[in-house]
Amino acid sequence: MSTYSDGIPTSFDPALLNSELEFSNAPASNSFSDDLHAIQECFADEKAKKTSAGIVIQHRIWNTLEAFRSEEDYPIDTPLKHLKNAPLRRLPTDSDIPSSPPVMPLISSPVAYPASSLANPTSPKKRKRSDAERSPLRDVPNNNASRRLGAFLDDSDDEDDIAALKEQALKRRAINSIKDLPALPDGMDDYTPPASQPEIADSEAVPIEALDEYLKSPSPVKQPAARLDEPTSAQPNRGRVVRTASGKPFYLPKKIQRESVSYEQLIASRSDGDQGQARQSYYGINIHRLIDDAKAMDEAKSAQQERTRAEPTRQSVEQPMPGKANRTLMWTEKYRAKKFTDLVGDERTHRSVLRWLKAWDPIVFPGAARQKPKIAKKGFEEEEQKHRKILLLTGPPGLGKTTLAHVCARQAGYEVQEINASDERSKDVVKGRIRDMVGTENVRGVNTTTAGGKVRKAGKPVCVVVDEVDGVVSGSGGSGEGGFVKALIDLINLDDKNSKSIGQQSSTGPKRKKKGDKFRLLRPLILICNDVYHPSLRPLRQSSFAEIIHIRKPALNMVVSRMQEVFVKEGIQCDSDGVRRLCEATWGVSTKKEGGTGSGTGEGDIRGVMVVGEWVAGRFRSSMDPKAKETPRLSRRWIEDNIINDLGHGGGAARSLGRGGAKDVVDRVFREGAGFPKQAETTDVKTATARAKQGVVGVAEAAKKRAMARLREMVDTSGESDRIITDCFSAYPTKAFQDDNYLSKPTAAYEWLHFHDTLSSAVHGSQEWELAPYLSQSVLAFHSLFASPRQQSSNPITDPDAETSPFSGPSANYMASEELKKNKAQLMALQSTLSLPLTRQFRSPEEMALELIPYVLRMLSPDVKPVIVNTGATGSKSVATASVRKASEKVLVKKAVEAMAATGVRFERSRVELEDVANRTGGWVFRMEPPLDSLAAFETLGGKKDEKVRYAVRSVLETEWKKESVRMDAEAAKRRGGHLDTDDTVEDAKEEIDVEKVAEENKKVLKRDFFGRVIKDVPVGQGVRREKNVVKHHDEGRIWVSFHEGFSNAVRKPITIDELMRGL
Amino acid sequence: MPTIPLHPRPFAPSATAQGSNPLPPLLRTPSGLALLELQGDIRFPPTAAQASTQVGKLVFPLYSPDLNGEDDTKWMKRVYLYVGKNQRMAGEVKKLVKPFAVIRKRDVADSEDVVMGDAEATSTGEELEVVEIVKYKILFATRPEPVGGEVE
Repeated sequence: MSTYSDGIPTSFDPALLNSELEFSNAPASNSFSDDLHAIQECFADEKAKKTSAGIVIQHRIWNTLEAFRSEEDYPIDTPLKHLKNAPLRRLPTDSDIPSSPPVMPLISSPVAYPASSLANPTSPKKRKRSDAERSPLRDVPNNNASRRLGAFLDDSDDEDDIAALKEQALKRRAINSIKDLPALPDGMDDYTPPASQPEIADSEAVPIEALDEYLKSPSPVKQPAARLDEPTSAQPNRGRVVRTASGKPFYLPKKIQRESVSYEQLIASRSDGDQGQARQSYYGINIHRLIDDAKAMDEAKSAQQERTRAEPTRQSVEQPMPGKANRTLMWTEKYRAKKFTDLVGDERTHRSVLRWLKAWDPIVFPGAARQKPKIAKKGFEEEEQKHRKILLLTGPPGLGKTTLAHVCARQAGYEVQEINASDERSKDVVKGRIRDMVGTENVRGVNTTTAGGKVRKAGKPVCVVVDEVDGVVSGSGGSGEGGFVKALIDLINLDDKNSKSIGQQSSTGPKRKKKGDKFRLLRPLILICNDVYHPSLRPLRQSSFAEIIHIRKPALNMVVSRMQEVFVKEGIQCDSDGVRRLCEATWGVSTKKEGGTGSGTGEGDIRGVMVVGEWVAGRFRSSMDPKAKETPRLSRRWIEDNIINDLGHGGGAARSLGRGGAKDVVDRVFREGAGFPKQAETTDVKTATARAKQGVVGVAEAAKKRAMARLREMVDTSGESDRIITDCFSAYPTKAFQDDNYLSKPTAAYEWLHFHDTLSSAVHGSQEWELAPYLSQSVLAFHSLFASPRQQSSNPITDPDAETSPFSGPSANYMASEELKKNKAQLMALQSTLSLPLTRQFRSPEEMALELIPYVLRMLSPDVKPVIVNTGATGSKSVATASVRKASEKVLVKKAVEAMAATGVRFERSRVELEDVANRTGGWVFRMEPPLDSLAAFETLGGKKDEKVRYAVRSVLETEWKKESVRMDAEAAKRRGGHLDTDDTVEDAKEEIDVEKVAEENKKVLKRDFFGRVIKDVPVGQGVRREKNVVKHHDEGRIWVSFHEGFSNAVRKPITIDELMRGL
Repeated sequence: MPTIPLHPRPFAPSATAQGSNPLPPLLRTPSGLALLELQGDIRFPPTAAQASTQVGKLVFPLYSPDLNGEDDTKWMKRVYLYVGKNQRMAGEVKKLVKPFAVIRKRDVADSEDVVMGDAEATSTGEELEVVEIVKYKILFATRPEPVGGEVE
């Protein structure tokens, strides 16, 4: 029993086993046993022949173990084996038996099982069960060890067998029964059952192929016999016929012992023998030859490489190649300006950036800055006011804004901390990172000093560079619209406020402690953007905080000379002419010869030129003839011959067109030729032929056609045809167009607009994408209708504050709808604060807007002329209070206060920083809260009221409201207290007192106790009412201290002698 | 700039106050005043508003000049103020960085200051005199502790 368990490792999956056993059930193999015998015999014969002939067949064991195979197991075919023996399947085995399946060693045990026990293996199920039971006992190592050798040996043997099979096909048929077989020696029968025990030891030594063989062997019974014979069998193959317990005779071929052949030999012999078969096996090919071949190929290849490399190498030797990093760096990085003097472009711009940075010196390097005399210091204080806190560099891409910022910052002694598009840029980033970076006296390398405890040498202050700011808003969804910029502005506002307070401190003497933090902008902050008119940057632009520096395109000469320098450094001789042509071609600028006025899409783009230059250099090098003696020059001619077509419009190396975005497209729509450079037709063969084909007549028409094509491309690439059309629609009335006396062009344009609307709704509404290509047509129609050669002298961009209408520009409708939403929300909020009767009266926001708001505003700005009383002696401290004297005005004020009470509108005093220098106090303003006045403010409605009058009126209202609210509070308290007096006379009497009290209160600041509750300070003389309460709660003579937790925020302030005397 | 004549304090202290002053001599002032600093309000019944009310008792538990001598300053570390019946505040005596002067209006015979508190009055010949120079204060910085009613 246990003998055959060896084949199954303990880890063997019973499920797999089962599945295999299922296989074994399938065919009834018994009937074919005779055939099998025949086959085996044939094998044996063949082998014997081979042996005698001296043909080496390795792995005798294999055959030996065939004996162990039970007939029932033939069909066993594991999926694994399946694959492995795929060729075997193809064999022409005529018999019905499944072609001798080389079975996986794993299967051996279930198969073998009947061989040992053999009692009656009729029921596979039973066998299966027993296997499962036995599985833990199985011996693993045998299986593992044998498996190592597995693959090729097995296969090779199979092949041998196959060959044998082929040869013996006829013979096999002939032999039908075992009767022809030689008689079975008697002694053999006895061995059958006990054979298993001794075998254990053997089977462990037997490799897996042996097991395979053993499986294949037709008779399980005879196996022990064969095994027994094995050691002694030096005799040539002689099979035996054995009988099973059921009396079936089997032929057992004799194992032929062969000396083991070393693998090398085997390979050698096989490789020599038949190549075709050897190819089928895994290792049938001479590996050494393969290796040699491979080596030879390698050598050949490397030799070739050597050869090809030889020329360039020599060149690079003779030409100066800077640095060893040149392989890895792109030119744009490699030749990025490192020094201030390296910068290409308008030097004044660079200087202004540097100056701005230098203006930070007194803040950043307080000590290190050269000590200026006091006067100069004072001058700086004023200069600081002018000094804007943020630098906004703007300009088209590739002009070197980032480089400029970096270089200047480095020049000024800063360490650049860059935040660019790859970083998260939300409101929180500003509040956290940027704020920390900018608001602390930060030197780079602080982290290491704290962690390592060692001070890094020469820590530099940080300069924060935020790159690609205009991408900030659109990108971040979570932080909300304008979060970044708004947070930035808040930051600057805070700094501004704090710095002002500091200034006050120094002037007035007593230290004023801010409740807010003492954030100050201590490090320069540079923002870089492409489009300063990006909507997200509008607040920044309109606020005066940012110093905006437009980076202009560098002069062509500078770029050319720079590029030439670079080319020379790269070891390419070049003409300045050629480089110039290259730049022009890259930027899409028309050359002087072509006489174009049109601007290229990327004019001045140094980066672009660098990239193209690198590419051109590569191409130039590869095109150079190494044999040529004189080094070729990168000449204009070469450029024009090789490069221009690629660089030109539609060429493979054409730079991106759609970089201008919608604004640029709209700009181009209204320009003749769409602002593209006119190309010289003659130089361009392709277009010339195309023109000939199309039968285009005039030059102008051709140019127009070309412009149209390019414009369409731009529109398509921009993907914002809707926006472009909207912009065109809003822009065309301001543009001058020609040849139109009867407004026929606008009429046509409206047709086109309608067309676009239809298309757009079809495309975007009902997903008719096939119409999408036509979306650009309307834009082109606009171009065709309204393009004029007249230069748009008044660029609307240049004076952004010239806009008078509240909503203008491309996003006007959006802004309007936003505003509408905002106002609606305000109205809703207001409605919620309305008193109950009013709420009933005005049910919807619309109603309120029409019927309530105008009147409320009217009521809240009563036509009174308040008199300013009590202008404080000290000016800054005491607030001027306004009051109304006239009785009629008092009535008005009273009404207004009532309106305030009813609508919940309040006035809040807040400080605004006014821009004009004339108003030196900055200014306090009473803001309406909720800001209803903004709802009813019409900018076109002239007659601005005097600010001061409004302020006074509002302050009067506010004080009156305070009184009123106190009164109402008192009333409410009384009502809560239980004695609800509706008696008006009593009220009036009370009110008298209250008015005084309130007046007193107005003088004082509202006192709050520790919990933030308002302490109603009761003047000693009038505190009768309260004291009654007190007495109620506490017994008569009680004296106690009520302790005030926390620290005292008592303020020591100077008093005048008057005040002193008053107290005495 | 209005000026007001300020007179130094009368040299001779009132002997009566001196004699009955239970305070340590350090705190003693001619008029018997001491500067008390506490963070809080002393609440007392309104009836007491007009007359002088006894708020509590000051106790110097460590003050024993008999044992430690006059120069000893350790007693300054602890002062108790019993407020009412149920509160005791612990404090200490501290030297003021800048001494305070207590001034008062001197009664000038010719000025009947009818318009008291009016700014105009100052120029009409008012005069001030220094009553006290206070050099020490008793500071109660901590929250009052509750004590039993039997203290009295």
